[in-house]
Amino acid sequence: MSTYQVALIGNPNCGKTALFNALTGSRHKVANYPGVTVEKRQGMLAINDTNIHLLDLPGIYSLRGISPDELVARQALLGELANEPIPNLIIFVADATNLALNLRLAIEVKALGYPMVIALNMMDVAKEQGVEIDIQQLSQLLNVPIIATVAVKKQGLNELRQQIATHIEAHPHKPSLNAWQEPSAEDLRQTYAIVDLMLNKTVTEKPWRHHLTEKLDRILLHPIWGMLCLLAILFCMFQAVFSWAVVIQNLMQTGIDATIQWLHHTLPDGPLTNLICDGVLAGVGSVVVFLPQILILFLFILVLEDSGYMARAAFLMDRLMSKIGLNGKAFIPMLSAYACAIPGIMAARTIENLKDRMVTIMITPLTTCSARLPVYTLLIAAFIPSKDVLGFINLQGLVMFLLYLAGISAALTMGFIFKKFLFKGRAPLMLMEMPIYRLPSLHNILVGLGERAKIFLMRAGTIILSVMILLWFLSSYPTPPASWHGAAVAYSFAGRIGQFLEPFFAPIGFNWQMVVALIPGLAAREAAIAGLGTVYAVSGNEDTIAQSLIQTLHHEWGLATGLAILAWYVFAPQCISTLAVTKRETNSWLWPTVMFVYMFSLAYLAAFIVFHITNYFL
Amino acid sequence: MQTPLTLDQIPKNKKAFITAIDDRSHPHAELSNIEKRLLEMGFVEGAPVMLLHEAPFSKDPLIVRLRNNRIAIRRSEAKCIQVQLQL
Repeated sequence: MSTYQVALIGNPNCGKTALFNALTGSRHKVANYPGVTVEKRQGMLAINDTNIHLLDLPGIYSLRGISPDELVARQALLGELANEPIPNLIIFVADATNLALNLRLAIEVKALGYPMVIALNMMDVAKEQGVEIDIQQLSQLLNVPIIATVAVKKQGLNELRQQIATHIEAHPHKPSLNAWQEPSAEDLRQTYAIVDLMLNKTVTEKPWRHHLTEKLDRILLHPIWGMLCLLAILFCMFQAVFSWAVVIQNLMQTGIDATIQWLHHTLPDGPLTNLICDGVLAGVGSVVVFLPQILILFLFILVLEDSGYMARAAFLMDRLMSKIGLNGKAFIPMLSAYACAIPGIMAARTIENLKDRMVTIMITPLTTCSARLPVYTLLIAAFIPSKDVLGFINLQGLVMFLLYLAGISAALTMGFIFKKFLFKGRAPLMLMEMPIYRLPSLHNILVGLGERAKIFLMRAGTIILSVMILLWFLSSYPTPPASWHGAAVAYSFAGRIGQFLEPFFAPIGFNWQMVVALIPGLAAREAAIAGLGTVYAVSGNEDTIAQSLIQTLHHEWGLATGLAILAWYVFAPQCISTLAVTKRETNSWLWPTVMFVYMFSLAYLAAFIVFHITNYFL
Repeated sequence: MQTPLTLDQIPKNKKAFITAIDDRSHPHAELSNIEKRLLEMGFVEGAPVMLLHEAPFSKDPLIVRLRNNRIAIRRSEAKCIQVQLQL
């Protein structure tokens, strides 16, 4: 017997993913649908010794496929995805507090010909609101079994499993499907009329109010207090990301350094030891230390999303985003991009309009991702004196702030330009449900964090690792002959590439060592530090090794060069992973190329201006 | 004929219900299929609505209550939703 497949489908915000998590526990994996980067959540569910594949389809409002998410959901249901068998059974997850909308969609989906079970979710909230539903009668009217569930409290799961088991026995084979036809506006109205008739017979609703939500909204959506709360939340988030995480990061860095030291002492000297220590461990280590930051950021994002606040933030930011032609939903990807551009670009999937999605993807790498932070910190420590200006502002902190400001200003400006010239079009729709406020569920947040950690580590484990090994090879070989007097790295492939490219970078004040160090920065921005370490540490000069990198840079480069590379880093299209994700998300080579060219030009221009202005004034 | 009252024009916290969805005045009605999207989101004739919040500064977008749910919507789309205040 082929595997039995069950798909979860429903409107967004119906608690579908919570139900999926509750049913599968942690036995699930997140992958992508081929060609598009719509997340594909798949898990296993054992019922009476039968293993069942459970698929969590993206939340939809219709089968029209307006956003990439919606399109995938439709294609999955219609069996249009290559190598994806259609499900045997559909569990339609319906929000019991929003029945008209949910049942309209359920009827549209059922018309495809699937056997269906409705999980009437959020029953606790419905009861709290005084909604009473005659489930038995509603089930008869719809001709679909209905199970009441509260996914976040794991209620109704056994009944749901039982219902699935019954279906496996009754329908062991795949259903034969009907063709889908896009309903007209009149069809939609008619379906609503049918649903209303059913609900009139089966649902008694007291006029209700969700008092907590109303009270919180009165503050959180207030023209003044609301904006202040948003700023306060963002401030706490950045504080947490950049100060709490540092403690853990330092611990991890110390551990990695100690391991490298230990391995150097224990293993016999040779190319393999060097590869393991200086290539693999140092490289991956410099990436893995960012895990705490990214997890803390996602902890905030997941809590804000789960509690219902994120939609409010998008609402408050909508006006600002619409100024550059985007909608408030673009705020979430840009916020995620402060940890890393990759989850940011991936979060752009929720934006329905293709053009807006493209603009958001194109400008997201300009937001200051956390990988730039160590580079900024190092360069600021090396070139900006730690003194107070105006009596109380630390100059180093001020420069850091300006760098962040430069990033966000550049992102907004470029967004405006892209929207104006490349992706001309109407202002997008902004139709967004504001869910009720709820306490976030610990289980969902832990599952979400686990997913993020996995995605990030996979990235560290694949692209970055391979590039770091390649770079280690390029900067170690060929080894110079005994008669060679300069630095070993100058003789290597990397040194030669650096020297070859130096004339091109000379106008912006970069020497060949910097060019060499920029190459590992292509794997991951922060790896440029490891690159600089390699370049200057293996330069053969013992004094250089003894000094810390900060002092080395301070002496080796002029102030103009130091500022120029800071300016470069605000814009540079450094990390290959970002370009790779852009390629996957846009499904074309054109957009990563455009991204690389425009960011490279901006970086070169900015570094050029900063270098020459600084030289002029010194 | 008097222009019909639309969702963006009603006072806050007053009960109303939808009398018609009409996107003909919307500049991108055809392209965005606004009527269908509004219907899919639950804005259908007869449904009870209420204006709850306006965004800071520009008073756009709005948050409206539709049946038991809250939905953010821009004024440009709210203009396509004709309503009648409940007396």
